[in-house]
Amino acid sequence: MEIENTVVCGEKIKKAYKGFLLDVESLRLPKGFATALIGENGAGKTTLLNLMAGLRLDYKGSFTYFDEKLGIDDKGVKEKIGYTGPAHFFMPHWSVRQVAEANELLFEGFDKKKFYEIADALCIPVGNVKNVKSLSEGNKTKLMLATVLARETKLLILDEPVSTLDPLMRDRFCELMRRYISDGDGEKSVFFSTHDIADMEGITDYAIIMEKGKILERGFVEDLKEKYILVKGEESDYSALSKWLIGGSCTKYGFSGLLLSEDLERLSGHNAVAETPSLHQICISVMKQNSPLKMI
Amino acid sequence: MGKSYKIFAFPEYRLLFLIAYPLCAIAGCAIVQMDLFSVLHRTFHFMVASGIMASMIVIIEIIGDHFLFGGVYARFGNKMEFLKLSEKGKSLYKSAMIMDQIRRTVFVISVNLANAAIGIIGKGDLAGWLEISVLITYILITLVLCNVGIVICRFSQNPVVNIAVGYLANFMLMLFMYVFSGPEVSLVVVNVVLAAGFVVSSIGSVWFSMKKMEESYHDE
Repeated sequence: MEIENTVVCGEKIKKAYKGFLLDVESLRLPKGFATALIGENGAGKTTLLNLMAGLRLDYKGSFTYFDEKLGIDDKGVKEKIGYTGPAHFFMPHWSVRQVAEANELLFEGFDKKKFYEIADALCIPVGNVKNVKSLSEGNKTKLMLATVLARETKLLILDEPVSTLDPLMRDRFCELMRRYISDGDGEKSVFFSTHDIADMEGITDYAIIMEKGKILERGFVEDLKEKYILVKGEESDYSALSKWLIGGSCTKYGFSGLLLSEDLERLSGHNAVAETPSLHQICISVMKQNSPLKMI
Repeated sequence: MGKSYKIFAFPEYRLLFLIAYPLCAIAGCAIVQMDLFSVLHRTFHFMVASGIMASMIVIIEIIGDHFLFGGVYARFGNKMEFLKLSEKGKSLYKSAMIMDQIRRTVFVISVNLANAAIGIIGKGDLAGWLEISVLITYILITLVLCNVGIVICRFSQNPVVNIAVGYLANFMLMLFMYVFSGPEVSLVVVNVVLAAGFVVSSIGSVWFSMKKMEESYHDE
């Protein structure tokens, strides 16, 4: 499946910082879908999101938004983008009311009434806490989500939105994102980074896997599931298949790893079974193949 | 402009800095100028009150700024990230900085005028002694040291460092007051220099804030 319309398009993005190099030749985020950005710690996910949200400007290349027409500083672009970042995002001494007031001043599309409704629905203790600093990490994340969901946006850029949330809230978050996209009639999109691939698989339409500042793999989840197969077999067959396996691992109980679907015929004559991999398994295998992490 | 300032000034800050602190400063001046030390001349009381008030203002303003914009220039403070997401973020930040500068200037002038008024109304003999240039010196030196100290303290998120900056500015204030009280010093010249310093530090602190905000878009 090809990307028909893009919500963000990046070309020749390069940013060097303290020995790290983010190097993305081309990036296209499909409009009207949820895109997951997956990678190890230090892969460059936050850096990429920060560049895209306009928080950092010291990079080479360019981003265009909403059908490749506008730059981040063009009128109305920031108004249409909702970003949530690390938990210490708001001034720590702000009360929830001040957070609402600040958003009202900063964003024309902010609906204060809707914000309080969302805050209430997400059980953010608006009246019971003195300030943002007193909120738990999970509630800080929920507060950030409430502020962006109370605005008229067309793109949400969310940096690890669920890492601090409990399982129930993660499920609720997925529902909120599904509703956000479906309410947009193909105009609203979500781009989020995550380490919780299994929890987020249900809402992920398109996935981008990063490693060491580069994009290793990308595509619609359904396409990726057709591109790869998950292979499991006996330990004795591992050595014969290992050079075709992506992120393969073997124990005395057997082996598993990804195989390109086009290499399926290589399983003939071996005692191995092929399954459709989950997004989690695809991501882990691709990352494992390229990661500098070693087994000890 | 008031709205943007309100965003940064949390309710407790507003209560303390916009109401309690000015009232305490004026009340403190009145208490010092009362005839507690009747053996001393009244002008001495006025000078003591002005000196204590100026030194307290310098420390309180610098430490108070820690709670308002504290650490806003610190490289990894992340205090401006939220503002940078909005097209109005820069103007809101600038408005809040200007508003704080105006508040400080109005407050320092008002409290010094109130202090002088207390001295004049209290006994009357101060009116003959008090020259406007002395009052202007007190006002300007307080404002200049506040501005400089605040710019320095915004680099640090550590309240201990900012308290130390406050005390250092206080020491500088005492030193300057001692030097300027010498008979050979022309207060007119001093005031011209201080006025220039005030204008430069006031405009400079806002300009510097905006420059730091621009720089925060760059990691290196």
